[in-house]
Amino acid sequence: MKNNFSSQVKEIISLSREEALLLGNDFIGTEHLLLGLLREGNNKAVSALQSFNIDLRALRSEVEMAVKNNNGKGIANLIRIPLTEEAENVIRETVIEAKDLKNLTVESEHLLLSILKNKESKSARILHQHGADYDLFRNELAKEKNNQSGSIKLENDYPSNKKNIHAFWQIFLFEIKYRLKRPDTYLYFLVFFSITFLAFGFGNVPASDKTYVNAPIVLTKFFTIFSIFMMVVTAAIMGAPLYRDLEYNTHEYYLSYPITKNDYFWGRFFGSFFFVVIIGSSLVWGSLFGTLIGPKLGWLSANRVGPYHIINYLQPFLVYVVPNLLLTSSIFFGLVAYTRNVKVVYTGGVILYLGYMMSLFIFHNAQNKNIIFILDAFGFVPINLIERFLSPEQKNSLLISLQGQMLMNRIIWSSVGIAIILITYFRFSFIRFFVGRTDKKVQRTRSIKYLAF
Amino acid sequence: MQLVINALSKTYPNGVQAVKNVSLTLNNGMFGLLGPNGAGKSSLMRTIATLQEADEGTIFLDDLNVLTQKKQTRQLLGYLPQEFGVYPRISAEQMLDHIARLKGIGNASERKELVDALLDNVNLYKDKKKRLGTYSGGMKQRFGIAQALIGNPKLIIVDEPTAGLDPAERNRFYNLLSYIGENTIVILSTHIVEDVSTLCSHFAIINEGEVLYAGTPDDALLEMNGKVYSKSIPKNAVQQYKNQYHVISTQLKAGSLYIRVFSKEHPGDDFIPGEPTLEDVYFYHVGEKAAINIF
Repeated sequence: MKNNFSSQVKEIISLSREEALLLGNDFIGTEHLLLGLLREGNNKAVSALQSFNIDLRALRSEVEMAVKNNNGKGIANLIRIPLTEEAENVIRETVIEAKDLKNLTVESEHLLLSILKNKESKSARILHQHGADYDLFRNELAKEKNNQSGSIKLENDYPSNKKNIHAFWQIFLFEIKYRLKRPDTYLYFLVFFSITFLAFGFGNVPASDKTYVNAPIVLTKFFTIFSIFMMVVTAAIMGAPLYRDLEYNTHEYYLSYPITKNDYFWGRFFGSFFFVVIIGSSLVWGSLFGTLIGPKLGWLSANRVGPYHIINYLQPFLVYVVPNLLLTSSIFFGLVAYTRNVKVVYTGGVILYLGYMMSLFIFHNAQNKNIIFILDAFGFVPINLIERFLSPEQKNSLLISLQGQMLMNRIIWSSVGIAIILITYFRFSFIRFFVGRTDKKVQRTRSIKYLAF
Repeated sequence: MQLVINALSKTYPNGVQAVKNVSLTLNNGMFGLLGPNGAGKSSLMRTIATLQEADEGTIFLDDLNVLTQKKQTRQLLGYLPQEFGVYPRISAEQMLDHIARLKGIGNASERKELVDALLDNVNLYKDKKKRLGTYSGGMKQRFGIAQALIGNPKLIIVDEPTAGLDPAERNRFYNLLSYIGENTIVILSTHIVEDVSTLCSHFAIINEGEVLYAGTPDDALLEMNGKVYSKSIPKNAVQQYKNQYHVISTQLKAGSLYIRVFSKEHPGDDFIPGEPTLEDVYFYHVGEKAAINIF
């Protein structure tokens, strides 16, 4: 095996022996192997150490210090000084390193590699302190073997025909992937699905005995009220995206990438809103599976379940759930964009919820029903009002038609949702949001306010 | 490529003028921006990195107007900020893939190769699937340089990159940077003089938003040649000497106080001529400005 040691390495090993003698040791350890390398000087290992900016003189003295006077006794046997077990292992490893790098002969650099590899040895530790690294060195050698220059493989290996992938899609997809990794996403879906599933499964829905559990009016009412409860989810999911870059301080470099405000803002918004809608769809799945499975499990009598029409599920979802979710999503996303603070979303959510409940209470007995149709952002009370005028047969078969005042309500509040997000978009500026410096106009108005006191 | 900065100025809304009429010309290679904390290095770098606006002046990267053509500049840019965070739950590989896409590398296999090569070069290949939140300080720095290198940037801006790294990591970082510097413009800001003397072919000293000196380390030392003298003095005599001579710096060596002074001729009086160091250059220029400010 020692046949494929290069003459240089053989020289180094014999120099190691001399080093041991010079230091008064009666063994040859890895430290002496390292000293031998340094002593020979004209080898690749030493050049590598130099290229790592390692002070060779300091290295030598530290290694010498490590082995000097390790034994009290004099040098008894000058002819044969044994290798320590550690040194023997290193030499054995050297052959393996050479093989790994597919070199025909064992060279000085393989010796250095195997010294570095055994991290426990004194030599390795000293080398490590000086910044020499097994991985780094090995990578270097591997590269040279592959006939590449020392520079990083970034050069024109890659054609510069950078396809202009719209950064919007990248950010959108990133948002989706991020959401998918978060356990709370699944939790929200599960919670709403389960509640809906159990409610419909057991027939615990706002339906009288003469009404089907899956009647259009029942689905509409249930979906709408739960879209209001989903405010919690909307707040959590929509509050996060912009704030995440602030919280994790990633904006520092993110903004030096070639993305525009468009890409960033809409990518973040739609990426998260997509999930809000998916969680909203749990109402559809829950109600559907509830009425399918409930009777089979004996929770619900089969005669309470009416015919299935996709439109009965789709219409309430698209007319009430989605616009309601859009409204709250825009509000919460906008709040974070404006205040740069995520806590405000939770307070905002609570206020919004209480505000809505209070307004229901206040306008409960309003004489002028028109006010209710216009002011009810989520459409809940208007639905109830319309229901009063439906006969049991109508309740079972008719969707609330989108006309008249109901149509007005939906148009107004969908527009409000869209308007809020558009206003937020136009007011949003990367620099102002991330760097946080208020512009001069705001500063002036603020200072005026203080003066007024 | 050449980066030409001309009469650049920036004042923050709170009145602080962070960059005052800075003019510099940079070619391929490592360029050091040396200055104390708060000197305006970061402000200057952030302006070049298109992260903030300038009030006056121009920056041109060859024919590209950096201040007005931000998106095109960003295609050629790599930036490693002084402080940055990472999304904790994403792995290094996924984040670099995302960034590579943002920087316009469309082909999936090309991207994978590039990301793998980069991770390999910064020695994070074996940790590529680990979440960024688990990374140590040194690993995060290396990730930072990897993200700056994506897309073969022609201009790399590195802000105080070795702060917080231990000496071995710093060494490794230097090696990495010096490989990169061959075909790109690398601007490195630091307050550690040794970083500049080790790595940079050209440098500038900045303090209080102004460029106090620009040139090569060798030239800087040459200018100080024969003008730096040192003497050991009693500790209570410092003020006396400061009044009499142009004291560049004071140092403690083995318990005694030494002063280094700048003088065109031998000041006599037991002063020993000293070999000028880059630190002398630094203290000389930074101190001179401070002295002027007193009046």
